[in-house]
Amino acid sequence: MRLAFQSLSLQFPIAEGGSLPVLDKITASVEEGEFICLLGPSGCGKSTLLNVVAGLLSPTEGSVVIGDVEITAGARALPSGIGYVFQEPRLLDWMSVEKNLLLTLKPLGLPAAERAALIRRYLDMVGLYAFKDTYPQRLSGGMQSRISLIRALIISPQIILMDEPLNSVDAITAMRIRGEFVRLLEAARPTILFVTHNIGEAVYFADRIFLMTNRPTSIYREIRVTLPRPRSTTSRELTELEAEIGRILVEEILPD
Amino acid sequence: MQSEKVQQLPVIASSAPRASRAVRRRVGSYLPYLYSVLGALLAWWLLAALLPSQFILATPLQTFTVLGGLLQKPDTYVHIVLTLMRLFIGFFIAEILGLILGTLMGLRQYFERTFSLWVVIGLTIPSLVWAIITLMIFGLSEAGVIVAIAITSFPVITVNIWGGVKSINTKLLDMAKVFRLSRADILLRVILPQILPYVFSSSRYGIGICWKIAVVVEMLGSSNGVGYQFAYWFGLLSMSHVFAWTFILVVIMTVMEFGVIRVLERRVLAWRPEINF
Repeated sequence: MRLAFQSLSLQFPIAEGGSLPVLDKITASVEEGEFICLLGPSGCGKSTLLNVVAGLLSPTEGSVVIGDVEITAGARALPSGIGYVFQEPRLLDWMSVEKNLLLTLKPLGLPAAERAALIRRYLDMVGLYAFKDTYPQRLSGGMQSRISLIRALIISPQIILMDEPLNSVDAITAMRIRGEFVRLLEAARPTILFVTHNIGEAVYFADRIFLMTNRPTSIYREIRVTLPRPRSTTSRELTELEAEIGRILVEEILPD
Repeated sequence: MQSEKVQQLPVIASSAPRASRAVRRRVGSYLPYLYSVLGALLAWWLLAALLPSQFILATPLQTFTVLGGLLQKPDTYVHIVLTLMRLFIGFFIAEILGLILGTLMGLRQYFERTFSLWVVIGLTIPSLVWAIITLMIFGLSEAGVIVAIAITSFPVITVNIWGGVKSINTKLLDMAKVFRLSRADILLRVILPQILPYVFSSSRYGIGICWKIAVVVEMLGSSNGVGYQFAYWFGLLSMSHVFAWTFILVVIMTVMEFGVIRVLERRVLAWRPEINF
């Protein structure tokens, strides 16, 4: 699905009566199936941008067009077909892994056999089928992240929003999950908005990287990554690009 | 989790010596309870023996003799069952209404603003006043007793649920909205499980209050039930009967707490990891 941000701005009301500008005239368009990484300093409003696309927040001005749904200040529509991988796993702790996934599939109205097959397939892909009857709290953080990842993928979304999903996972597990994620994406090509402050992660995944400024956030620069996939985190081109982006962030964006 | 271990122990104990040590350790952990009960009995007996008149304090022996006699009379059970019935009907009404109002107040500011003052007022009115008012309205009838029980515990339960709903994790609500769960699923599978711990604590508290008010109302205006027994034996100044009936009350409440509420709670909240502190 295509996405178009048109001069999108958002201000949060604050206690003293004023307002805190978070997003500042963001204009960009995203092609169907494109993998966009939003890279920028933490606290700059990248998550806020995802929440607008998810329909959880309304913009103050401007709009975002998702397929044929337009979200503006007045119209708070919940677009459908969106999978969201939050910063924390956000699983329902009182339901088994399988029940969590079943609940996510429920709005799709698939027959029971098909739901069971999907759950089996996705749990197998991340190597967690044996844990289908386990309560999330009894899983490790990395396992919970993987469940959260396939929960977003299992509904075959046309857009996936990812908010630093591997933040709370150790580096080795994160590397494994990244690999799994790239393999999972071979089957379907949804449009992806991936928020991160990890430059290596951004160049590993992205078709295009949006470098975001400090708050109020706008897009400082777009960088197209044309390296073929599967990419290797240790290849020369990747590390050179990583260093170049690091330089832009440190010298041009952070000083503001 | 804990309860399963306890239930399995006797089987394991008969088959392995190592397990019998575990049984001994477990029995050992209950010894403080035993000591405290024996100590209390001893203190009671000493106090009663030292006081000059049996009208001041009945001895344990007198109390348990009366209790033994009571337990052989079918009437005793009729009174107990009548009180329990009133208690549960009243409590059930209060819990359902409290659950609905507390949830609405937690979710919607409109309801919070409309009702919070009245809930607080409800909390401050003494239960005895409710008992008098309902008896004056309904007279000596079942309805009066039940309404008094329900109306006294209702604000307490509401406040508990209200607080519980306010403390739910809104991030999970956002998740549910993004994945387009139906309103019914959000209510039953995302919100309700988060307030269940509060439902349990409010039930526990609510039943305690219901007992107290049930006995008072029956004392004031009923010709049967446990409360009526208290009034009757109070009139005859029989301390041993008052003590025996108190003992019955305490046993029933303890069985409800440990045998019903805790067992249910452990089963329903099994997903919660055990707290090790």
